[in-house]
Amino acid sequence: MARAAPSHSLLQATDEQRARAWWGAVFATAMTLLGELAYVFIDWRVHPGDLALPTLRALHVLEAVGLLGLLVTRRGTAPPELSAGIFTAVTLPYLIIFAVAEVAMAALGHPWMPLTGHRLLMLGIGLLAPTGLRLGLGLIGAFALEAVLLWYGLGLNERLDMPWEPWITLVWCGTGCGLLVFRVRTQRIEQRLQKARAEAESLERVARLFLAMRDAANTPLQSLEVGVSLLQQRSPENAALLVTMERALARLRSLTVRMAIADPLVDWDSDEESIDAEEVLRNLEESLTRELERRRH
Amino acid sequence: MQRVLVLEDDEDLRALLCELLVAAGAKACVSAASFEAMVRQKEQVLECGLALLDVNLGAKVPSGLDAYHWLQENGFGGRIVFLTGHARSHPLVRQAHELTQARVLSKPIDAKELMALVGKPDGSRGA
Repeated sequence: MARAAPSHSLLQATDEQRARAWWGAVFATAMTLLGELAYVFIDWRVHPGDLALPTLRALHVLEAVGLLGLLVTRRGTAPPELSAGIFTAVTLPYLIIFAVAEVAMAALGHPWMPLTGHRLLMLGIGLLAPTGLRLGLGLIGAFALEAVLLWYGLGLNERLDMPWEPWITLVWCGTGCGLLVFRVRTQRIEQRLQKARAEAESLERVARLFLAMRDAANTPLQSLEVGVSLLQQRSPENAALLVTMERALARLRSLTVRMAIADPLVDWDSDEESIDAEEVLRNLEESLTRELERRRH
Repeated sequence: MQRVLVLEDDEDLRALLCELLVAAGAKACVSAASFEAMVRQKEQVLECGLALLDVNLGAKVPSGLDAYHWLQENGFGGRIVFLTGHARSHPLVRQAHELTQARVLSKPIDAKELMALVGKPDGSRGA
């Protein structure tokens, strides 16, 4: 038995998911590239003589350039898993960089707002992470955990007069998670709507096909009907043969009547009043050819 | 016996309908493949007692409904019957059903029913 081909709606959903994941990864990678490039120079000025942080930032920039190049070359073909992998690969180094940066800033003694990077990144993940809850929540959780560990591990709770920390950072964590959940939920609703719409369109195409075939068949059927009737009058000696032809005609008639079941599904446009069954069939054949071509590639 | 008008774009069906109706007792058959062809035969058309009009005469050309209105405007006194292969939901067929002075028959219709149209005086509306 032939294996059923994937439905059009499922193919559409996959294309949509692939595009969304790709754009999320591209945006995150590009933002990392630009942000980290700026921080190479900022850290150079803030920590003169200490190359550790600028070097880490520069390495992160190089990684972002490479990943961005990979994404661009795989545009339109990158599976969602690859985009999610790239998103993760570009996000995880922040765990090391933020830890090193917080330690360096704590040692420097300058006034600074601790955990700012964590807060911004958790929101960024909520906004851009490929819409799988597990990955996004895992990343946000990792940054929240690191923020809390750094806060207490570096003794910032004793050195800084910030009674709102680390709680405010955890609020940002909750906000990032909320954004991610909202995005996932919205996307699922969109996918369901898209699937329902694709099914409705598919059914209407079938209905149009039925209708066009019936319309195209009715006139020749009428010709046969009239022709058989004329033959019955003119060649009564062939009555037995004509009875069999009448039976065949009746079967064809019943088939066209059954095709009428799809009529209510067709939504007529006013400019289709002069419908040409041949044109409808031709258009359907062209659409099917295009779809077959698309599936082959 | 009356003359009949057959307005049908399909050449085979047009010829067969004419033969059938003449065989059923019609005096003569005036056949036309299009609205324009019908208008060109105005005199003979208006003398007919029965007009059998195909609803759809092709894409982007006047339909059987245009022919109906032309016949009404030109004082056609006979009965008008529409023949259609389209669904009842089609806009043109819906409009044809809304006309009170015409009957609408769906293809393929039994030849006996077509033959019965010749000589039948009432213009009752069909299903």
